[in-house]
Amino acid sequence: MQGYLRQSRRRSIKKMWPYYLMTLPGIAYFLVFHYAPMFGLIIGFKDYSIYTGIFESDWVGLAVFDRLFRLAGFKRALRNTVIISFYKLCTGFPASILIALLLNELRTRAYSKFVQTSLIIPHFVSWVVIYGLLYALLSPNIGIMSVVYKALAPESAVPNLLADKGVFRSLLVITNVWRNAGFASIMYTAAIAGIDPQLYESAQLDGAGRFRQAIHVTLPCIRTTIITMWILRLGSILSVDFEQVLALQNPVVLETGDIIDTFVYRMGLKEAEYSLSTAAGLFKSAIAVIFVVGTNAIVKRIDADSALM
Amino acid sequence: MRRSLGENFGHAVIAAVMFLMALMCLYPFWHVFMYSLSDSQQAMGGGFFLLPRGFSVIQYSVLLRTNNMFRSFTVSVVRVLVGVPFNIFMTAMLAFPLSNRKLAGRGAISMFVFFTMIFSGGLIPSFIINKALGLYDNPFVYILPGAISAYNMMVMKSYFVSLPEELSESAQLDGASVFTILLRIVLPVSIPVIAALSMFYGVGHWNSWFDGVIYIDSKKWQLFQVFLRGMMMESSYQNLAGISDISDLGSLTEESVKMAAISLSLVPVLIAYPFIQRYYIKGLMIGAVKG
Repeated sequence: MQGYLRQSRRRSIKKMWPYYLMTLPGIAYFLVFHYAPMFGLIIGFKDYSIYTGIFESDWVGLAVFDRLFRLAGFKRALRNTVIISFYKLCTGFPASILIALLLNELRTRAYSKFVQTSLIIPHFVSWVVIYGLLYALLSPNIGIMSVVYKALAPESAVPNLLADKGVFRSLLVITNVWRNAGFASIMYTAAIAGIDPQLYESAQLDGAGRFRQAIHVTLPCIRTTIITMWILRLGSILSVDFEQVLALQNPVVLETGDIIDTFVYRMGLKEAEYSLSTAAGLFKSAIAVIFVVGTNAIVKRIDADSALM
Repeated sequence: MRRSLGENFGHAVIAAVMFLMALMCLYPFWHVFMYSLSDSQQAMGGGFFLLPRGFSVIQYSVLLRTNNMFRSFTVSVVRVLVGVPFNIFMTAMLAFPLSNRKLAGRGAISMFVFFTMIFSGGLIPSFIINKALGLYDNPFVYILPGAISAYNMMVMKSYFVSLPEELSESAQLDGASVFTILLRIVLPVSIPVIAALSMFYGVGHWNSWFDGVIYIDSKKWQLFQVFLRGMMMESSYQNLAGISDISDLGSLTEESVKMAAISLSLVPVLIAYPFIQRYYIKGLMIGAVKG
């Protein structure tokens, strides 16, 4: 029996060879552009220089990490990353759920369509363009702020909010919600659309108003979607949207706005500290994996249906 | 259904709040566009721009006569036009075999792809590898390293799985090759997912700029977003260096030119938006079915 199975398996592999052939370009792509860089992570344990190359460089064990964790710049970047990520988690995540709940309350389809479309549009412009929009709104000479300040405090100079380390994190948090919350709410809106209307009807018979229906019917019904999004979100706990921070950053705000990714970029590509920045990147990737796998494991315990893996 | 006074009041408040939110999302774009149409000198004071102050399009003509602007715009458009079909082709070539239940080892290959979604080598090793592959200052860097998105591949795969199996089986009996089946039979009935993924990839290509910053040195291959970033970061006149007669700039301010540049960058997004809206959201749904 087993021999027969093996034979049929071999035969099916033989018959399927054109399919295997077809997967080759894709597999080659992932090997070259994803797995080779993973292999390249070993330079975080080496004293890499572009002259010696990945293979010839000397192994130094954890010396690079040791140096990294003593570096004030890295500590600062790590602290900023965690703080900014936490702020974003506390704002962006609930905001997208709230938007979906509020959209659900609108009675006219055309109106809710209009609102939803408006809230999604920002998601499709790049951070470079968003920096441009911020510049238009906030720069001291042409922005809205200049008018506000002239009205409220005519004597004081108009502050440049784009280069103020005190407001940089707020800027990141606000633009993050502005750009992404509407888009992220699509998932919840779709989940809400799939809720059985009878649940609302029976809640109504029990005397529940719109607010209590939202709390006791809508939210429990979209729980799985919320949890899935939560796991995915936690996986990027140390990814604070690199392109956003880089596009909005300037040297003045580094103290509050330098994150691990921008640290890696500056150290690695501008100052050619390849091993050091690779180690920092590896640290970040490892944390991400731990968070995804960990959250997933916890979710699996509590509610197996909602787990991803 | 009768509604209580409180409910009607609540609804009115929510409707008003949502209107404000919509306004906050749309106003910045409107502001920039109105500023870009204003007369440079009259626009100087700042404040809200519900309508242009005065009217001028000199900033646009200056911008359009800038060599870098036109060249970088073309590079970005070509990137989208070449990149997206290549993305779709590569993605389909992997998704199609993996959607076949008879393929031994498909789980392992899927895992191999999925793993790249949770763990990556990061910026520096990728940079070293890409440089070693000769992609530095080479426009192929826009296309190759992002050829397949693991997420998009999974979306396409789950769409293919949902197609009836008889579709490709009957063609196989007729002796059609796997490639022919994919090209002639499967892809034509997969237009919704192709459209959606084209939007995902296309928006990504148009908006990306970081690869243009770190890999591309020569102005020849500069992306429009990178041009825009340069213009926002520095004084715009530095970027306008390629212009022939600088004398007729007159009272033009660099702010006006910047606003015109941002407005121009929004044109392709606006043109594509109806399609994006329609297919992007559908694609998200296809992806969400089997997360």
